[in-house]
Amino acid sequence: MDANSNNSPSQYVGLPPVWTSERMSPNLNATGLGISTTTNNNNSNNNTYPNSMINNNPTSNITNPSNESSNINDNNNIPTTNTGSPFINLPLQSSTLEATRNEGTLNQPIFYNSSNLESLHSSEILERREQSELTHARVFVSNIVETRLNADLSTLELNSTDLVQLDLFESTLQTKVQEYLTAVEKRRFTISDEIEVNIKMLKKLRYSDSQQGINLLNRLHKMKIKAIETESRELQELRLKFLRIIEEYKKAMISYSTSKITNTPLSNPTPEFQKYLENLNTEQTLGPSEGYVEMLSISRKFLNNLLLESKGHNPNVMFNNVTNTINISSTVFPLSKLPIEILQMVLDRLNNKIDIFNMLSVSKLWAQLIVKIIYYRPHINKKSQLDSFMETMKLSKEQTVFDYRSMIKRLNFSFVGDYLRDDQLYNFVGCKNLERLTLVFCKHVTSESVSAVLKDCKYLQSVDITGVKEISDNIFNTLANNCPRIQGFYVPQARIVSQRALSNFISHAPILKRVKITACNDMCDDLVELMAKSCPMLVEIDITSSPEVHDESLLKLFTKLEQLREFRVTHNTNVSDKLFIDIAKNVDQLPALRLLDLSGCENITDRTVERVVALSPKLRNVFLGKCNRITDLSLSHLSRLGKNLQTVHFGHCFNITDQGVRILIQSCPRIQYVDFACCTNLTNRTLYELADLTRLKRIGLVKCSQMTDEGLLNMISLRGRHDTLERVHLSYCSNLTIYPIYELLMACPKLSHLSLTAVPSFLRPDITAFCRPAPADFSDNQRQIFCVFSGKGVQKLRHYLMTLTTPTNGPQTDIKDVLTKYIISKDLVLEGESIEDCVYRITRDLNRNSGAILAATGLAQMNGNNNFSFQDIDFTRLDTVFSWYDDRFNGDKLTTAEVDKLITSVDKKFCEDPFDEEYDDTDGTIAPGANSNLNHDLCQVVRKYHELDDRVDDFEVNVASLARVQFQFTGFLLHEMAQIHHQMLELNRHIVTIQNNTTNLGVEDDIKGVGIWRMLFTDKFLELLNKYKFSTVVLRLYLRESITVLTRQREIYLNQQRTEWGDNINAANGPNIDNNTNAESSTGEQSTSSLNGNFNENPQENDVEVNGQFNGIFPILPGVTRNTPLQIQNTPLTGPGIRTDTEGDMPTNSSEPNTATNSAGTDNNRGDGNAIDEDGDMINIED
Amino acid sequence: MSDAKKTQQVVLVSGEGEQFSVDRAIAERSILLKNYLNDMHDHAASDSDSDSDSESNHESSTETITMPVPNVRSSVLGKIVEWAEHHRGSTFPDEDDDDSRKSAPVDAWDREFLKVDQEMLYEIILAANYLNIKPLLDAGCKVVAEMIRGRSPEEIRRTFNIVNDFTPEEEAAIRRENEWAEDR
Repeated sequence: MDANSNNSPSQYVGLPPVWTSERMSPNLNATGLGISTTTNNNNSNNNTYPNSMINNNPTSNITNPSNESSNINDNNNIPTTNTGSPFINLPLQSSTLEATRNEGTLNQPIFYNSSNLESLHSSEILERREQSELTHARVFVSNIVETRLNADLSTLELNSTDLVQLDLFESTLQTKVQEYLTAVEKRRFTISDEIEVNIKMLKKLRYSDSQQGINLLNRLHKMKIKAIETESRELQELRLKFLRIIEEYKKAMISYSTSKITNTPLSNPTPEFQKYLENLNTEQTLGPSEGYVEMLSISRKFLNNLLLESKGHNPNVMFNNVTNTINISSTVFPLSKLPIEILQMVLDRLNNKIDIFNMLSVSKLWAQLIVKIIYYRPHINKKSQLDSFMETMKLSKEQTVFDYRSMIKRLNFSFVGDYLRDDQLYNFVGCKNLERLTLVFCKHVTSESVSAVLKDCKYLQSVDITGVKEISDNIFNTLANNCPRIQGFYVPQARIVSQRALSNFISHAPILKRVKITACNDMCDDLVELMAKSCPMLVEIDITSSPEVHDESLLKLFTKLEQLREFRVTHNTNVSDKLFIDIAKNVDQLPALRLLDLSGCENITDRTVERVVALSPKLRNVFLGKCNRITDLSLSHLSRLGKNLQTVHFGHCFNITDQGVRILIQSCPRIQYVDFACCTNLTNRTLYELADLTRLKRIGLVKCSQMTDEGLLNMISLRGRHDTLERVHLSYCSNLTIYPIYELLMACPKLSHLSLTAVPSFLRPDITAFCRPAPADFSDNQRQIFCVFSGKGVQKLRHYLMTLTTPTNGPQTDIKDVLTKYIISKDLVLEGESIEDCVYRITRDLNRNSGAILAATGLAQMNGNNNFSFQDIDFTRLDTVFSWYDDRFNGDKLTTAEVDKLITSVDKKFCEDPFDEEYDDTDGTIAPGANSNLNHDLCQVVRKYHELDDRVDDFEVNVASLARVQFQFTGFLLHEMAQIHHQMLELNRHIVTIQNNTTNLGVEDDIKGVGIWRMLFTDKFLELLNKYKFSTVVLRLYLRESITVLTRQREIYLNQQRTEWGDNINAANGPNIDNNTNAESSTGEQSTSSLNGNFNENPQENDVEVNGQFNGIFPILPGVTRNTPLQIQNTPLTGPGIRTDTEGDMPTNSSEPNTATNSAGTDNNRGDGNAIDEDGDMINIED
Repeated sequence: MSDAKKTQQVVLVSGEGEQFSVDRAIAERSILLKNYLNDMHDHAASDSDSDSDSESNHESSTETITMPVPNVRSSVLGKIVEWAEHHRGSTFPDEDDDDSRKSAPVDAWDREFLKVDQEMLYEIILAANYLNIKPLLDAGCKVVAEMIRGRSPEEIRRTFNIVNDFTPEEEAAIRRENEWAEDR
């Protein structure tokens, strides 16, 4: 095939004649029709109209139809043809035509390569067919006038005036038809011409020599056909239109003549119709057709590409562009020919449920296929949907179009667990093909209804009824008797299920793979052995809280089920070390085991852990909570699992120490989940170790009372910004105060759960306001100390703490204040200059130098992840970031009365808090009067605005506290600055689009709605922008004043990094860690002061300072300094709690190294002093 | 499968009799052909059990197998071979995992590859179905799904020439009964 396409030049010799012959020429039409006319019969006209009703009396025709029709045909230069229902007969005729044509073309010499030939010829044939159809249609349209009209009115009682009017009407009708036809014709010629031009152009450029050129020609050709298709459709519509007019006219005339007979004369309707006809405007009704518009746009694109092309670039690119566009629209996919099973696949890949729903009404076949898809797995996400689903499901299968129940394979009501009731579940009795039933937390559902649904489900594979409250024997028996294919069954809390039912179930579930039957009093050794015997496929067994199970039966289970992946047996004192010692005697490995939960099996010791690790080297999740005989030895055994280990739970294993944790974490870098609750030996050192786990999602340190502020702060600082942590449990860590938690919240954007129960610093009403309600069964005492934040509560806490930790006094940050103080402290005010002037001057200078300043920080390269380069921000034009409110907008012409009226219907609450739960699914009215789509768009804008506003607030707070934390987060802040700027631009672009669209559409209500919205939000956006502007000024000023220091520090940092690679870091840091431990073994307050001592004694002060600072600047690279926990401690030194005894000295203390290396550093730190003074407020708050 | 077997040649013969010689590994992208080839091979293997094993293996690897594919036209078979050659080393999402397969976007190369005449696309899909080449069938179906996505029923009927065989009552009933599915 490919070989052919290379002979290009000679192949296309035949092209020109083909293309020219396809020009729409009347001659060609005539020839084409000549063939078909042979089968035509002129006289059959009137009879072949399927719906030419009413008495058809040929003798009383007013005019002779055949004369008239030949007249028209002459005009059109088209021979008389069959006009009898051409739209029914035509396909037949044209297929004969096609056949004839085909023969003709086959006899012609073949010039094209094989693949092209086919499409070229077929399109040629197609076009001719289309054209002849068109001609037929045209003739028909012109014929309808007299044939339809005259045939039926002849019998009516009409006087001479009436007849004159009738004649007039008739001729007008004909003129109009003619007009329309000419319009259609004209348009078609334009298209033809346009394509012709394109083709010529193409040939001139010689692209036709290539395979792609030929393809393109073919496509253009098809476009032409498409255009013609559109035309013939148009003609058909035209025909219907005129038929309708005639029909109407006839009716009117009949009633007119009847009224004459009955002597209740009506006025002659003819003049009315006459007027209507005359008003018909071809221009209006016949705009450019689809095909034409499409063709125009494509040929334009094509020509543009040609222009580019002629300047000599890769021709492939051009053709790809053009062909892609054309391809989509050129021909139609033979969808209706597609085998049903493939059509089903196509529909199944639509993904979008709304699409699928819409297509239900395409045809019966489609509906049938689509309901199969919908009911395969009904998605029920909310109560309203559940209710409407039940409206259908409560009907019996005889009452519905399809038997929906038989189509349901998977049922999951977990999202509506709060609402599903037994009576609703009974609607699903009879879902005989059900494979999966999931009723997680369907708390109102009982065993009876579930059992009823499961009857006769012989294909059932899995059932999950976690959280269903009442569970009794019947479910187990139903499964045993009806569902031989059951593979998974989750029934936690199966308290009252009898041994008999369990045994019945287990012995009738031959391919059971996953089973969870927990807290069942009757779970015993016999049943475990039965499981081992009759369910050889088991991979997951959860018999949590089964105290009556012993080593012996479990031994059999593990020996028989080599493929077991997950196993849980908990709170069982019968399980001892003997179990795994014996297993090791029987089998070499448990190669598949990934999860082992022995929580609360108090009799197991390190020996079990040793065996388990040896047997199952791929173990991922280990739960040993309350196995209180476990020691560090176990942790060291587990460390052999290396990268495989992901989850460890050592709650209440109070023997373990920092050393054990260190060994474990150093070897297992992929741990995601740790729990050391009540491991009271653990100290801050464990926190430093945790800093190493880059994938960590959850930390549990409940009652680890030795953890302190600086431990936490160091961990946060080591882990860096954008932490992966999601859940942090610090309840009963009573030493913790607010500041480190604030830092934690700032560093962990994904944090969704934070527990601080019984941490005194947080038990204040202003903070517990954001905590979630205590569980219902808590006592008063428990309630008083309950303090857990989750979901939105975490977010609210973050915001609240931000207001607390800002350097100023008020509830809101006043960054201006910070700036003023900074300027004064730096002596930046010139003689006789006011503060305002000074700020203005500084801003101007900064705007000019921003590029240089930002470049000099060198942070762009170091961060390495800057998609949003802050160098792109044009600070001189910050004021115009939101251009939308400067745009002229018609809606601003609202009258006061209108404003007063409309503004009352604005949803004020939405404006302030669009993220309130109330608006989860709905929008508030913010553009009153406007259509709901527009209102929705604006609501999205408002939501985005609030997000942005929050972000700018965060940014402002961070910038304001920048001086305090020194360079801690400079990199992060610059990145944030750039991102916010980017978002502002995006948002503006969005609003401008909305405004433009509204203006262009010109719907008055919409314009007014948007006008109101503008009134409400212009100021808000201005305010937001000002906040941002000011923050960037402070940030840049701070950077400018600190560039020397930054540069110096970067050098040191890079230098140090270079040398560090070679050194054995751990050895060098040994003594530091010891020091550190000593310090931490004393209690909170003391530890901070002794820390100061440590700090001063440290011989490596220089490096300490630099390290600490850089750790903050490059949050992405925290690992560099992590193995030197002590060195980082200058970060918390600037924190609040520490300032107690070294009031004035502290800032100088931390800046000392800088003074040594560079005098600019001192200046810089004087600035810090300022900020820290303000920081003192926080201490007051905490008191 | 041994390397020798992978490179063993299979000659596919199209409906028109045109021959396409491909590596066995390429041909086995089609599960239909794969099963067929394996059956033939097993058959050969069981026959040769009586002889020496190594010899028969060697023989069956060098021997060229001819496979008629009479339901597929040359031009279509050529496209399918082209597709399989391109995806020689590709791995596809788990075939059993329906969800991930359905939601995965069409591979960029496949998308370009399927930018062909609509009739050709139709034939490729049919052939992929017949030959049981899931990833290609899947890509084809997705491309077709994109043609109808977001269109109104009326548009679909008009464009694809589908007759609306609903009575208004039936249509209303169907919509009413499935209204819940629209609510997302």
